[in-house]
Amino acid sequence: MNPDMDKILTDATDERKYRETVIAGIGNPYRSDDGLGPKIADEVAEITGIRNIGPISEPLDLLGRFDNVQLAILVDAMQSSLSPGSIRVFDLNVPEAKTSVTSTHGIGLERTIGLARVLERAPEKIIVVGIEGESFTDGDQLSQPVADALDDAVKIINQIILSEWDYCL
Amino acid sequence: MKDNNLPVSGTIDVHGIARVEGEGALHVHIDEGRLENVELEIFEPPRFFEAFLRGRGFEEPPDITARICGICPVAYQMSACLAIEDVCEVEVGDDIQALRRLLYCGEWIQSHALHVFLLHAPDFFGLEDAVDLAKIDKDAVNKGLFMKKVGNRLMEVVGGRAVHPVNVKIGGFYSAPTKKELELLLEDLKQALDYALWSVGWVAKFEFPDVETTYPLVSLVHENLYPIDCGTVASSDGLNMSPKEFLDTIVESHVARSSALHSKLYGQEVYLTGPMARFNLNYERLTPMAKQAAESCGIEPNCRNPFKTIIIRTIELVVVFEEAIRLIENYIQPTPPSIELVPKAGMGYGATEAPRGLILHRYELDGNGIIRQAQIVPPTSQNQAAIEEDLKKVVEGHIDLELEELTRYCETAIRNHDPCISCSAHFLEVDVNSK
Repeated sequence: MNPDMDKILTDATDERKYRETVIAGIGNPYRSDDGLGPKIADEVAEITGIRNIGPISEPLDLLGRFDNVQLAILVDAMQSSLSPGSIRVFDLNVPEAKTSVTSTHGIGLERTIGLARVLERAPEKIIVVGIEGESFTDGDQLSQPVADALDDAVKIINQIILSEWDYCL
Repeated sequence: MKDNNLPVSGTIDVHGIARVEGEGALHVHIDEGRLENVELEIFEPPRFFEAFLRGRGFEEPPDITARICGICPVAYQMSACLAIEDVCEVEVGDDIQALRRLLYCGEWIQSHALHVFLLHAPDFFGLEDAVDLAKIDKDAVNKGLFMKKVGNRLMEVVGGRAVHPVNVKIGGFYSAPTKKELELLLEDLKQALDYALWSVGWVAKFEFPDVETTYPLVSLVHENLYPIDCGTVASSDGLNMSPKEFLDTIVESHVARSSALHSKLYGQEVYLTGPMARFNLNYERLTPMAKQAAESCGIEPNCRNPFKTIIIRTIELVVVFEEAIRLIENYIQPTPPSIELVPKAGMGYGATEAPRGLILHRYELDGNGIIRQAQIVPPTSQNQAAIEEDLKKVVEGHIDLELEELTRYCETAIRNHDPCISCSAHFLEVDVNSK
């Protein structure tokens, strides 16, 4: 374990000093790069010891798993115009996110967060870490650019957790 | 309502129907106050599952067909199991059948709680979605989410995971939960049953448009049980037949606007499957508290208003919570958790009730257990024509409304049936003529 992390964990054993941080990977591990979220979440949880509330395939399942925690970090694959493997961090510190109503039976991530906020069950802070995917075809292997970006994504998330805990402490 | 009664002309085009599964659109054409045409367009691409199944082994359909739908995978698994077991001329014992019914209860809970509270109820308040509903009735949404969570948990314990269960196999289960594992669910199931009973009263107070339908209703019926996992196929017109006979009775045909086949009785008659059909044909087999809830909320035992299907779904939530509690209390762990099957050449049929209606599977196996033919008839493809009939009635009965209001009614009319468009787009026959 990273020595900094070890110290923080030791210092934080007094529950009054911090509230919980959780992580969840969103995606299907059998659709190539869509599975990057669960892979990264597993690794971060292993390193930091924070609670892994994933994998999440249906965003609505977050309700009941991340209720009222201090910080929820959600890791998901992106499809935008960025180059595969690009990493973006979004602080969803908006009162109510709106998204397209042309949804399927499921409720999307933004609406789930909106619902959690209205129900007063949302985490205090939600950070979404998106990694641009290249391939979403059948299979459990990540594309090369995404596989190459995994270590950086894990470092970025660990840094987010450390800075958040520093703040709390 | 418009200030004057001048007939309207116009077109309602909803290019992407919200809060339904899959991709579809609705087109309604009105000319001088007269309904010209209603079309429910389904452009979800064909899925070719029946073709994937050809050449696969007889043990594979539960896992392959579960992938057709993330909302009702158990419906596919159960109908597939029954059909393959029918070819092999075996029946599972009562203990395995009870565990199957328990798993199916989990799926109904998940599906109905999601649909009633997050997808359909907002319509009756004129709201955009569940987020807006939560703003005015937090308690109702929380109760709905709790019920759904209990359904998820039941699926995890019996099926191995909440979506696309992995514990189902031809002949039974890979492993059966212990009675203790199931009993841990009882407290939450009893709490959820209370919420379900409350929800019957909650939705019964909604305001419902006055629409009466006349098409035949079709569902499974069973001697003793409310139909979920077994039964014969019956209709409000007096049909009662085996799944095989029913598949011979319906004709599936392709219509240009839809990648899903339209099913009609005898190739002509529109019919409806789903909660309204089950309720009307099985009123006497409602579980005790569900029957009491139905009587006290004032819904007619022969309900023909599709908008009231939301009441029926809450009554069915009571049914499945009562059933889940009963099945757990009487549970005997099946040992072994599955029976052995020896494949035979022949044809087999299976029919069960998905949350949104009757689902039929037919498989032809060769002597080595290889699938030669597969046919899957999901509820939404059977219901498409009936949904269009509903839309005609809604438009004709409310033609003096402003287009915006009428559009809202039309969308609600589609959601009455909780259509699963992804499921419906199950087959597209392509004829290639070459010289």
